[in-house]
Amino acid sequence: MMLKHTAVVTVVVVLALGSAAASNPLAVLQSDASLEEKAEACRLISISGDTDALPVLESLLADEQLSHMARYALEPMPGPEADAALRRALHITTGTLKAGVIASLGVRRDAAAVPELIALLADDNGLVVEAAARALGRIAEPEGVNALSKAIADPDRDYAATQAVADGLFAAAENALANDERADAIRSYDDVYAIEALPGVIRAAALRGAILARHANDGLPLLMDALTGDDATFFEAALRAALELENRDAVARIITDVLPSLSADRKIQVVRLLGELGQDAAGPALLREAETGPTAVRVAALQAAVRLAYAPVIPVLAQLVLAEEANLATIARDGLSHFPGSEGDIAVKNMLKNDDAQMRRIAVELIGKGALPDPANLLMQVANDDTDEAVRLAALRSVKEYVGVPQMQGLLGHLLEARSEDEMLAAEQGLVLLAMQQQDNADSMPAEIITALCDALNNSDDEVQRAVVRILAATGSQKAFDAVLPLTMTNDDNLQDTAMRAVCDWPTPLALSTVIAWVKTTDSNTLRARALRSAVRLLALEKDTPEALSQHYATLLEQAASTDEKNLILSGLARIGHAAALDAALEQLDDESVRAEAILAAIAIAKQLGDSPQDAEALERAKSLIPELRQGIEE
Amino acid sequence: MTKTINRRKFLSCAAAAVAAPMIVPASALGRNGTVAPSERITAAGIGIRGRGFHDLRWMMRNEDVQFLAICDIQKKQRHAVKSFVDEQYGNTDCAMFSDMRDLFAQRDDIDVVLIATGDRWHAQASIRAMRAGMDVFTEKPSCMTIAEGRAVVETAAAYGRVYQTGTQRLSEPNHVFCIEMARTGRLGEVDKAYAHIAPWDTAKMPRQWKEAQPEPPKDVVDWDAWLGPCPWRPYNESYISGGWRGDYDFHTSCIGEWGAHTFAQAQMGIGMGETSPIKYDYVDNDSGDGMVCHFATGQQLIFSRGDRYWYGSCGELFEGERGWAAAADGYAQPDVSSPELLHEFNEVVGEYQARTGRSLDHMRNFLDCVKSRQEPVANPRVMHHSMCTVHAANICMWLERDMVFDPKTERFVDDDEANRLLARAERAPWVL
Repeated sequence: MMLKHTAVVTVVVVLALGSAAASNPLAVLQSDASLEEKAEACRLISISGDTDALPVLESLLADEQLSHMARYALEPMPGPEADAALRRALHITTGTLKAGVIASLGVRRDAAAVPELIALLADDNGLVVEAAARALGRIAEPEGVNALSKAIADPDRDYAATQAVADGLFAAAENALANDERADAIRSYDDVYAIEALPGVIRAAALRGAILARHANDGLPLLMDALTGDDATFFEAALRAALELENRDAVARIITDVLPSLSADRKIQVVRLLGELGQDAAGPALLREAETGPTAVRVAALQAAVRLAYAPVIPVLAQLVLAEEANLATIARDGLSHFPGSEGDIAVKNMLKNDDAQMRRIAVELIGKGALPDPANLLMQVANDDTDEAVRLAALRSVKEYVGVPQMQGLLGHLLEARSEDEMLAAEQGLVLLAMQQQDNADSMPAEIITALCDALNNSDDEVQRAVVRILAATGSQKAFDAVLPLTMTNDDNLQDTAMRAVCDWPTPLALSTVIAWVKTTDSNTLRARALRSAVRLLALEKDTPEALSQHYATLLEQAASTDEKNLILSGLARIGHAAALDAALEQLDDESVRAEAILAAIAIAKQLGDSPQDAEALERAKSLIPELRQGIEE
Repeated sequence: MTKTINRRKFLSCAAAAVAAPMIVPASALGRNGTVAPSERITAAGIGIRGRGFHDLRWMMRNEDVQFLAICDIQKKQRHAVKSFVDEQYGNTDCAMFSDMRDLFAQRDDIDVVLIATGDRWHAQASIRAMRAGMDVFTEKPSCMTIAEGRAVVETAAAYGRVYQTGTQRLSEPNHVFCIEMARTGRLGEVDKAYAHIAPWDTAKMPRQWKEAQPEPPKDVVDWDAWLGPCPWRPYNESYISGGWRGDYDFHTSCIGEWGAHTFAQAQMGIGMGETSPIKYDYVDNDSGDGMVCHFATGQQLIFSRGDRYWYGSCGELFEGERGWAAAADGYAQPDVSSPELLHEFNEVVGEYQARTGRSLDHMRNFLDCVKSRQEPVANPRVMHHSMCTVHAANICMWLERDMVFDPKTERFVDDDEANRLLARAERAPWVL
């Protein structure tokens, strides 16, 4: 039985083509079926076909149209019979088809094909030669590898063939390594590396293999030759090979030894390599490079030392945070901020005790950027206690990203007793962020937050009072709204304006009825426009019946004073899939200035309508008024 | 022998040392913002359109990149890219190639190649480029089979090339934060990671041919080259306009479309970036939604197609004993189980940079590594192990049964049919 698992075939067939290939793919291949059906039959055989399929597949290997699909079926088929079929095809194929057959033999690692493949290294067709070379490498039989070793030295081969022969030797070498035949692998790599006429890319790959095949100890001299030699390609290859060697400590130590002798350009590369290797042994050398020398080298060394978490570099970093050279200062600050482990944290905390206020300010900024875990209380302490105003202010500004409920009273204190506008602004920003954090959990917002803010509202005036209004608005809570709303009727013009803006910016639908009322009743065009925009925004958040929402939109449409406002309202209305919303949109069709937006809204609403008679009637009305509507729905 | 010189010139690394990973003024790259020739990275592109243009702009924004050549099997696209590049540089220097083999053979002045073809070519083109001594930035999904992915890993290693796949979220701060929160144990033991798969297409892909149309002249569209190693089928214009998506021969399914990103993100977070799952539980649907993949450690990677765990695309979520963290496209900040976790954002992301020395700009990370010869974040192994998950999951869906996979041998255990799907025979002349 050729197809072992009909269930599998069924699955694949459902995905694919017709039933003919599924029921009997071999019969399809022998019939007048279309090319597509025959290709599909080959796919099915590729999954579960067995030797029953071989005669038919073999007959197709020389077929220009189906050779590939025959290979597609044969290549994964278990058993030596498939190998034999492919080998026989070497005698009946040429050129591209033959190259394909050779590739399949290589994938299958058919050792019996080696003699014929060796002969094909001398074929006139370049594709055949390349395929044979790579196949011989994959198969990795000694006879084939020897042939490749001879071929790589042939100066008459073109670039593509040379590359293929090298690929073959590399594959054979890796196979030898996998089989613990290290000497064979070294020989293959050395054969390629030794030929100076070969392209640098190929020789560099051979060098990398030669280093790794020798393992760390024996490979290190080659590695060092490349790192210190003149050839840039080999130098780059050595950088990669160093990362692959197993004994990283030994690698790092020997590289460290030659570091001082390298040019600045190479030093940078090698310093970065030492950082990547991550070995403590490189620390002292990196420290030396970090302390003096060309800036680019120092920068690289500082980065590498930080990656190593080499603690002795911390004083250097601390010293350089105020360096005149911007690169050094930036690297030092970043390095200190995120130095792995606790030593960096201690250094940053020590900077806070420095007599130099500038140093303390930088420490605060580093803390703000994440230099210390859970820094909120520490920053608040600095904001309260530091003797320098700039440091206090920096701490207050930095704390806002970390602020939580425990910091609220402290921030409120800075707001209520601010010694400068900047301090008040920083405190307000922190409290707004805190309020916004709690917004998503408005129902469970700690009562003390709102209570404290309301108390502050009653016990402050002028700028501070207006700031508290804005903070209360950011909470979005009912209690805050109840506190702010009365201020919209105060005689203090500035406070009234702030309160009205706060209500219009209210983040939750609590303010909806108020702003709609303002739209309908206010004499102020400015307030009406602001309230209308707010109403449209809040309607999108409001959870109410579609009828009620549609009625609100209709009211707003009646009050709209400009085309822009109507378009804005229509865009909101378009989200409601209800007959009442559709009717509201249709009523705007006579207004030429908004007709286009009304049609778009109607189409959007129509797409969301349900099956109710009311919806059906509204849709019919809409179709009678909007010829584009039917097309719009179909799209 | 036609070439006996070193193919690549030596890239001075002075710029690399100051450009990454920490913030350094752009002027550091050269005097007055210019970049010395010895510090420039010369680039070519293959198959640049839609997403490729995004990558091209991203690459060219780096002042140390000089884009020199475009290769495309479509004449229209070759000219479109050349026009764009020439306009950017104010010259007419961008060379055009229709066959990537010519590009690789003739332009030994190219350092890096940007590959943004369809999925079927990503691995093949990458391997050919690396053999030619070029470093590679390639779009994803980066291989069509597990065998292709392995070949990319081996070629990059053998030729010492820098390879970065375009899973850019691995370098984006929100994702880095989530990955590091999970990886460093800040979320406690993380037993489950959820990864987003694309909400369109299916895992069980069709492969019907589209209606045959007259094949354009080879100079206009080289159809054989477009197909590359895939099975032949007749020309239809829609294929070259993106209509290849969702087809078995050309695509890696809804699982690969986003899984190429999200599996890497998820696996990195749970410390499984250098391996792949050992068991895949089949799910009886068309997409793989809900599939549970088991790692040897007992940790699980769970596919999710909907928006249960995130509200943007290409998301991942790590569920630990002390909380959870998630990120997806469009997030202003990561989504976390407790707001206090976000207080660690700067610290966590900063420590990642200090520890790895990597830029948080995925393209810059690649370009830095081209100069330093270090490994970028989405290196071949990271690509391959996440794509192993993609392909094994696809095979699990195709064969409709649970699968056991050995990450060391990269073969299925006791399942000959599944093992026959590890590779696909390449169509000559596009054999590797």
